Amino acid sequence: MSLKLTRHDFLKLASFLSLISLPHAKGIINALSSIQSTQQKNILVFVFDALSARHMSLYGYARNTTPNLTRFAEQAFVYHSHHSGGNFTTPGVASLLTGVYPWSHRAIHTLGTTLDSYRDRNIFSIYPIDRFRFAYTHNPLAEMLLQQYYLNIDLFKRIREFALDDPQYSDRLFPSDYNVSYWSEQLILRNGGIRSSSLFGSILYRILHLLTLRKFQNFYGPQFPLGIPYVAIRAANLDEIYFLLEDAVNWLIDELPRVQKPFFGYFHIIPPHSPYFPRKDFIGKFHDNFRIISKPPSPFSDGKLDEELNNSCIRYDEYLAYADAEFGRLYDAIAHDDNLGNSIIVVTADHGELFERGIQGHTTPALYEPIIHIPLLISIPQQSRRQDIYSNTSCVDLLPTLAKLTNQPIPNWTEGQVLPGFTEDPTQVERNIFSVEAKSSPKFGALNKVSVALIKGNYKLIYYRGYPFTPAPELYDLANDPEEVDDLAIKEPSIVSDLQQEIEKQLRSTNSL
Amino acid sequence: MTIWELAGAISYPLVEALLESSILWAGFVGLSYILPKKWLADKFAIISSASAWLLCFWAILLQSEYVEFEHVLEWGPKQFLFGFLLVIIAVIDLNLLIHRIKSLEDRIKRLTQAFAILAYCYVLFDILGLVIILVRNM
Repeated sequence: MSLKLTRHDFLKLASFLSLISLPHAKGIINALSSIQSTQQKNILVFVFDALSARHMSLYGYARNTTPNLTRFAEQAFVYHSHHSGGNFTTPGVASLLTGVYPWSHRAIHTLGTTLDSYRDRNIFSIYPIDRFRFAYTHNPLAEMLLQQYYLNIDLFKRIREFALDDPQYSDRLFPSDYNVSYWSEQLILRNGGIRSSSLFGSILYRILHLLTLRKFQNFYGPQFPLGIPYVAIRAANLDEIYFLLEDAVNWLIDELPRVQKPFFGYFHIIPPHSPYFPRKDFIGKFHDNFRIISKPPSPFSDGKLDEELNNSCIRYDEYLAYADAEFGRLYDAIAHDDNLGNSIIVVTADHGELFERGIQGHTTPALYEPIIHIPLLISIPQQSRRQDIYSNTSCVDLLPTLAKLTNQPIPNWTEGQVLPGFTEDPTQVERNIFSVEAKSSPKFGALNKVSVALIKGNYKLIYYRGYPFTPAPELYDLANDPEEVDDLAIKEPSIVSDLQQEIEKQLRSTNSL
Repeated sequence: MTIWELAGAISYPLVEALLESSILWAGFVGLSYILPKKWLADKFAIISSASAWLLCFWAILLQSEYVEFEHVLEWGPKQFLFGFLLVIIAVIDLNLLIHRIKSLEDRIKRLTQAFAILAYCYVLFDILGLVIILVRNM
């Protein structure tokens, strides 16, 4: 819908205004101006998978991993204490898209989905149908969630459209029954070694798949000597989906100028998620003297040695630098396109990644900062300078913030708040920020086996419940001990007790639903 | 997942199994026309059932955790030929044994008859699964 006023329209409006009282006229002018300045803005939410803010030079990391994001930040709101809703894609993306915490949306399992009630309560549904909504993700877990909201999405690009290989058959053979046939296809062909339900078909499939992989390795090997980037959800026995990040970014660069305006776009790339396979020109970029800080092993340690973690960390940083360079290419394309000048660009992540305490990755109940501390950058049109915001914020805040920025009503079901920088609400400072891992709890029952991180003010409590060897809560002062080395739980029992009660209260209220 | 979706999720593997079994069965039917009658056609049910079980055993073995499947792809033509011959020889050996040892033939016959009851149920479920898939995709 275009609301450009011609000179003729303006004169007609002026004559109309003369008939009504001044306060009303002012209201109309404000409303029109507000519609033109906010409602028409395009929105692009760019999500990096497994991007820990702790590994970004933008946030002070020792390696220069994100020069392009730093460049982008010069004209953006930069949130320094932003946290994901969960520790892996499903709860993280679900919280971002629904504006509620995992205990409400219940997308808590690998390949899990949100409760049915969120089909019409998500970031796509808050916009009227005249806003063009599109979505793409490299990540099958996020795709499962987007699939749930497809009625609110005008253009839903599937992973396989940018995959080098196309090993899925279900949606071609059974397009009207995609979800169920896809699940069955996994069971029949790809359910891992001994459990595939097909005896002969699965073997044939595996032979063909591995031969295809060999072909890719021959073709793309020189460009990606460590391996061709792929996404694989081992826990769900999904096969590798091979891709080139450049293909997805090229599509977005080509599509953005053409797509109907105003638009809301969700674009989610898998790098720097493991496996870390940077392009040739980024390999060796960080062979330096930097080493991760040695910390006491977590109760959930996988027994990884620091040397091993350091080596993985180098690869992760290289992969991140590669993803950052691709973002830089996109940012340049947007910056040089006058038609896209009126766009809000959001950069964030679904969760982080950990290389310490004997753990590598993010599928651990231990909710340390590198796993849940994620970036958030919001650039609004004509923004000329950087604004740093240090308040604690959560990914559930993005939905109400974007609603406010585009003049949409803020849904009453969201558990988030409008982000500082876009509101004057003083309650922001002491609010509770949660991050939840509940993979071992039932979707429709009480969350009895759960880890919850609660961040309030300077303090962070990591609380575990229901594990066979339930560890004691851990308390950290993030302002004075950002590396979470000094556990204050014994020294500060009253703070532990207060924060624990807040978590218990929250769990009780959600478990009783 | 609703009950209807669960029924769908069970139906697809059932129908795939029916398809796979039918292809295998069609292969034996084809062989029975090619091979001398007394090798296969005269004792079709016994020989084809025993051969199918043996092939299934090999398939399960190949999928098992004891075999690193990725290594299979590193095989050259010689190894592939060797593996294929091993399966064929095992099937032929079994059939030779059935022809020569009457008690073995009788046991497999009894086993085949016992399995036939299961097969009737299985086919019934397969057909039900086929109907569910058709309805779900209408």
